[in-house]
Amino acid sequence: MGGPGVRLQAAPPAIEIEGLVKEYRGEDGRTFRAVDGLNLTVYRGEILGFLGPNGAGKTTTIKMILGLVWPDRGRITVEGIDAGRQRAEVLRRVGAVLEGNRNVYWDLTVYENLRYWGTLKQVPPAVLRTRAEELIEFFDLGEKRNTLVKQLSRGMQQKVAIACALIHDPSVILLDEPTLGLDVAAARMVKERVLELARVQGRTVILTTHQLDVAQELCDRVAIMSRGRLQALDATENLIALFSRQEYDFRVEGPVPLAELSRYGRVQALAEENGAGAATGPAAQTAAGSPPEAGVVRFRILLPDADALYEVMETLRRAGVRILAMAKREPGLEEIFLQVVGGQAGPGNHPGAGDWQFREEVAADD
Amino acid sequence: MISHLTSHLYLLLEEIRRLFVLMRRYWMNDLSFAITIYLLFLGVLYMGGALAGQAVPEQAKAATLVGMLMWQLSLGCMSVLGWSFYNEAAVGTLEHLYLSPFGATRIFLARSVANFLAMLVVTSISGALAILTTGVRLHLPPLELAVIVPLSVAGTYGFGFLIAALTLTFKRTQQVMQLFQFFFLIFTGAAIPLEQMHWSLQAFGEALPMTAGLRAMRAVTIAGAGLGDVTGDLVRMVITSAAWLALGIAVYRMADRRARLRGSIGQY
Repeated sequence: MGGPGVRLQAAPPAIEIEGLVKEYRGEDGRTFRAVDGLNLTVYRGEILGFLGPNGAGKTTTIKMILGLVWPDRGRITVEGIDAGRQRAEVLRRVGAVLEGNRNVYWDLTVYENLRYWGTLKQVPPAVLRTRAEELIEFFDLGEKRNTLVKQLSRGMQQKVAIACALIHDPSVILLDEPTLGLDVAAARMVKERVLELARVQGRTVILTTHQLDVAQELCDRVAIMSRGRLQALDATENLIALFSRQEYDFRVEGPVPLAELSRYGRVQALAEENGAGAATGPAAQTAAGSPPEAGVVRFRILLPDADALYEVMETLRRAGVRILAMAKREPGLEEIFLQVVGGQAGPGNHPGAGDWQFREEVAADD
Repeated sequence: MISHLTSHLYLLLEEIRRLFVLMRRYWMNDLSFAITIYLLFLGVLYMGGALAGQAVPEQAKAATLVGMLMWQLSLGCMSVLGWSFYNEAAVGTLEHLYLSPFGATRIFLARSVANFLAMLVVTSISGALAILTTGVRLHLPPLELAVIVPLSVAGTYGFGFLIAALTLTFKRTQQVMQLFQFFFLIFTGAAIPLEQMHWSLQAFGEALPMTAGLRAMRAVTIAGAGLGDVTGDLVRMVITSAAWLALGIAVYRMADRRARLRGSIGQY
């Protein structure tokens, strides 16, 4: 495990989930498993991204941690406290913002909401005043403290919701789609605050999101769920590295020796930079129809290993091809997510990801 | 940390503060409710007189007014756990109430007390308007009212919890709320004298919270009776209110447990 992994392994667990099962009965009387034997440990101070398609079981899991849904089987502990037996104690340690909900009262002002939800979280009045002011400052809501929440922008409403979730100073925060529907600036602000909550303040954050760039940007680790099961769990950087392929994009000028290059790996033509002449077939076809002097050519080559790159470079040099630009192509979390959820992942499909395996249960080091 | 009792006191005060902030902010809504009940009272009063073809006796006017005001109070108290439960569920704040260490039942109990105080204000406006414009005269002894009114209304919160339970289970229960409103209007003696009904309906009416309370209220405010004169009704009030409140909370807790098992608290 990389940097975050080392740090996380040293941290004590914040949330431990063992053998969690939840079944629902549908309108037709048939039962289906929303969560199917989930095992997961979330470490203190980490940001864990919970990814998965709709119906994967993410929100049900979050709600079981909060006690809004009771599991059929399994055990959840938050900082060592059994969520099933001591729910009130767990709720004192956990804050949550739920997706699709208003989360706060729109007919109250920012400050009134903080005071109300703080009282419901049993924060003593003297502490509550100080805490509310700190959060107003932290979320840059000073000018809006006496404004009704319904008069605020969507981004500010989300900041109020997160502030209210933090009013009792919880050590664990559950955020369901925290940046959904926000404009770029508001989403940036929320992401910065989430990072600060974990990195500076040492809180544990679990966030579910469909916005994979958000997960890639924020999360130490990513858990991918599908059909109620955990399909992948690893540090974000490890996950990306596992799926990393020796794939390179070239922009060159000159007679590309495609037949020769094809001996080293799979070659694919790319669209011209100006958008014209987008190629759909292999580079060989493009090159065959284009005179070598035609100008700039872009192609992508997938190699079996890094050493093959030397051969490619040497071949291009011998052919008198001028390399204008070259870049290694890294897979984004979105691509990994689609491969995992689509069931296409596996060592055979991913050169360089030979140690990858599906995880239905958390590995020993988790 | 603050003590268990103190934290509950803060909860109650915060619920009261929140409710009165909203009343101040949306005063037109509550004023409209007060005027609606006042107009309904006028309608019942003068329509009854017109149908009878003679002026309504002063005592009957007063009895009608007390009945309408108590019905208004029960209506407001019952609806807080009905309408507001449904509304909170629909917009999504309900799940957050469930995330309080107090638990939803205690929060709704505190909210009920806060709502009772708010409804006293609204009902007082209706009553004042009626007294000023119809010449009805009532005795308003503070001690008797302070005992009878809360005891009489407490049981209606049991109905409120029943509506909350139905809302958790069946989601859309607005018509049920209307049904309960008519129960209280017809079977407690608020609009129609209970003694004119069939014995079976009278027995049903006596089992409702507020019936004994309304009878005691009329005795105190119209006939000038004291607490000692209405002990029988006081005992009935305590029994029916305690029974309905206990039943309401028990059914609500069952519905709450079922909703958590089905994962349907937030589904509306």
